[in-house]
Amino acid sequence: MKPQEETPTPKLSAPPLDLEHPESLATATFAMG
Amino acid sequence: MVRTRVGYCGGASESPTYQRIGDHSESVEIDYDPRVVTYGDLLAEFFAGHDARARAFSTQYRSAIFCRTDEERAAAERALQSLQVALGLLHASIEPLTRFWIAEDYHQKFRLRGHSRIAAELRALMPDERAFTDSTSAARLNGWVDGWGSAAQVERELPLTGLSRSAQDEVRALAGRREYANPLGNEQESAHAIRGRTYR
Repeated sequence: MKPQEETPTPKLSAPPLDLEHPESLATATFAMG
Repeated sequence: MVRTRVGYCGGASESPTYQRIGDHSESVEIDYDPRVVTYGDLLAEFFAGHDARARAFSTQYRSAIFCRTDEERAAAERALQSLQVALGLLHASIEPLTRFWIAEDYHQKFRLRGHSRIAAELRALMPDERAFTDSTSAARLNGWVDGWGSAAQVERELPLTGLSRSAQDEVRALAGRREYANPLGNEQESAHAIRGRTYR
């Protein structure tokens, strides 16, 4: 018997700008007065 | 710069909050793409963004660079020494990062929250508050509504924020009111720019 296909999870809408992330990011931390 | 968040750092007390900040300092974390922006660029912005010549009134509002690696520490020390030659004593502490405690939601993207219609439109695109805090669009908008951003950046990126046309128009009217210099690549230029821009 063919397994039932999973219902795809609905994709959350997100601004295109938020989806342009590169794979590896660096992080910097500062206290600025 | 891809993401930003504000929080508390540099102290030893557990689970600080704005009301119980303890020995921590108000801090910002910046996630960035090192292929586009260097740590040196961020250091230049760090020194340009506040006047480290003034001694801090309190631990809460001091000037500090929290380093993750020896390379970051070396870059921070070079930048500080170079700027001190030009500007005199700077009260910026360089220390290892221990732990960054993220601040309460209402502190995140504080300038953007002051423009409630724009903030609400963007928030409606997000599944939760943490996504809003971590949003690149929210970070950009937080700066733009406060008058930062170049015209070229706003024109390129504003249409990608998912905002309606009318909200975009509102942002355009607010952005770019401040003088903005792109992050600079070397400390010599940075010192010059900082002397001209901020430390008059």
